[in-house]
Amino acid sequence: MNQYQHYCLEDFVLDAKFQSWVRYQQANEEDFWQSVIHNYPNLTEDINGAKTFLRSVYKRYETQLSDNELQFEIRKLVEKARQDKNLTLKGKPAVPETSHPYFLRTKSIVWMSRAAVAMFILGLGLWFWKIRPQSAYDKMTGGLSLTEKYNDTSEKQSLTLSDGTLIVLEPGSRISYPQTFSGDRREVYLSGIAFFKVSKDAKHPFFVYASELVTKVLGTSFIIKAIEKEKESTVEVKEGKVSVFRNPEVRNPGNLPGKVSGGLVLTANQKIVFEKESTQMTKTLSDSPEIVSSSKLNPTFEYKNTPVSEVFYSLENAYQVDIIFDEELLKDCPLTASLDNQTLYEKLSIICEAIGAQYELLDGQIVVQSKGCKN
Amino acid sequence: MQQFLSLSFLKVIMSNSTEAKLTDSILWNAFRAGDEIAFGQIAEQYYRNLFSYGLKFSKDRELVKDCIQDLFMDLWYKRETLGDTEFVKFYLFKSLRRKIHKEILKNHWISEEDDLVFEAENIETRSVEQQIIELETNEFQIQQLKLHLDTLPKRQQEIIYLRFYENLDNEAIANVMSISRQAVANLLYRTIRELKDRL
Repeated sequence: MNQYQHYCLEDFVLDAKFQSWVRYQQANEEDFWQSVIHNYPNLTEDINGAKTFLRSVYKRYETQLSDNELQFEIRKLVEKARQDKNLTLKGKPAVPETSHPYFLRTKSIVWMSRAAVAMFILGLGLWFWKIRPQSAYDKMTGGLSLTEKYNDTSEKQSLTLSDGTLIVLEPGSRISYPQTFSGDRREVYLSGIAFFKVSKDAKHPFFVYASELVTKVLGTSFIIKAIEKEKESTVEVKEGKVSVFRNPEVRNPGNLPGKVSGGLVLTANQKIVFEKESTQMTKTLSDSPEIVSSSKLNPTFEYKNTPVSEVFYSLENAYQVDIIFDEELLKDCPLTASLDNQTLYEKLSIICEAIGAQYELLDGQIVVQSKGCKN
Repeated sequence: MQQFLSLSFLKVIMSNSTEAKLTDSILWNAFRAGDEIAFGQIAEQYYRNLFSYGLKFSKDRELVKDCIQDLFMDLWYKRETLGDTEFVKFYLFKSLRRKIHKEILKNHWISEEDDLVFEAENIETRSVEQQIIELETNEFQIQQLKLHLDTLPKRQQEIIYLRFYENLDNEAIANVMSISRQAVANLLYRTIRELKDRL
């Protein structure tokens, strides 16, 4: 009780015990506060003021809700909870986060029978799949009149299609293609690894279907690696530009329906890695980027007091890759080096070492981190 | 929900009595284990307060009731991931406010940027009977103060409401209303002074 000795009106209105007394007027609390007033008569005015203050607040904001109304609402809630629980116990898989439980109740029998049918079909499918594994490749080529080339040798084999496109097929890989291309598109189907050098024909885009990925090309060269049993598929571009999409017709169980629109554009020396399990598509650079033949003839990598920004531009040009760096910071950094015999990554390491920078690959680009070399 | 439960600095004064706290936690654990009767009792504990608060933002009693139904069903679906009971009251108030805001937005009564308007029922809409009871039991002062409450800015009224009517502390009020704790403290102090001067 001593704590109240020095209270004023502001303290009383904020005191939980005091609030509860004014609000609910319980008998035991009444006694307590009467004794406070008795012991500290000087507080009487503040206590009465605080009481009036709170009472007006409680009066002003009280809301009428009859016990019947309240009980009706509570019964409704308990009933919904019970139905939800029963559904869950009967083996409904997931708890609906937002859907309305009433909807679930009336439709539950329909849903359960549907689930049973789905399970049966899934089981049947699994059984067939065990006897004769049907790959994405088989599914796509089934029913089409195509020529198939299967490389059962231990050497690479090359073939030329009717449009002049060159394909180099790795051992154990197969490709299906029409004898002659007709229609708007040139479409081929791949299982395994192949290098493509596609003849330019902008009016007839070239499509390669390889397990989960569709690669659309106008005219360029690239390598696709799509082996059914492996965890990843990759598309690696040597020259030019291709777009890669998820194949909407090939879905792993549990995948969301594929979207053709979510494609990625790849340019020279870029690579796409598609992880089948997570269905993640990641853009990165090739493991060993090569000088793009269409760029300047015989580029040299001899530098003598060359500003490092110019060095990066020459590399961008030769390898057709994007190098991101702070031009303002690096324009005064001179570099003297002879880098003709190194790979791109070796060149970058040497340059970064020289200027005290670091590089990383990010989304198919090279990002150079530097604090500048001005002293 | 998860995020808010991890905000351990938020505390809501629920009850001063240890006994009540114990009963609360037994009830809460039963609810988390999937006992729908315990769930009903918890809902009953908070229902009047939530309804009263909700009605300050919308005069549509059925809309407020629907929002509270949704609110508790959300709580039910999430029961297994819920933490301690001390945050429940604060969470319910904040969620109810958000739900009503969303409903009102959906019906195009306000635009996206507008916050909700806190407004108590008009005194005139109360029944004559109620008014007579009030006249009998309250002094003139209380009537005066009640009228003065209405002239306060809506934000100040909401803070007064949450602080005195719902017993939330400044931290919780700041979170429910999405304003800073300092602003709550300042406004609360100013409002108490203003009302005190009217006494």
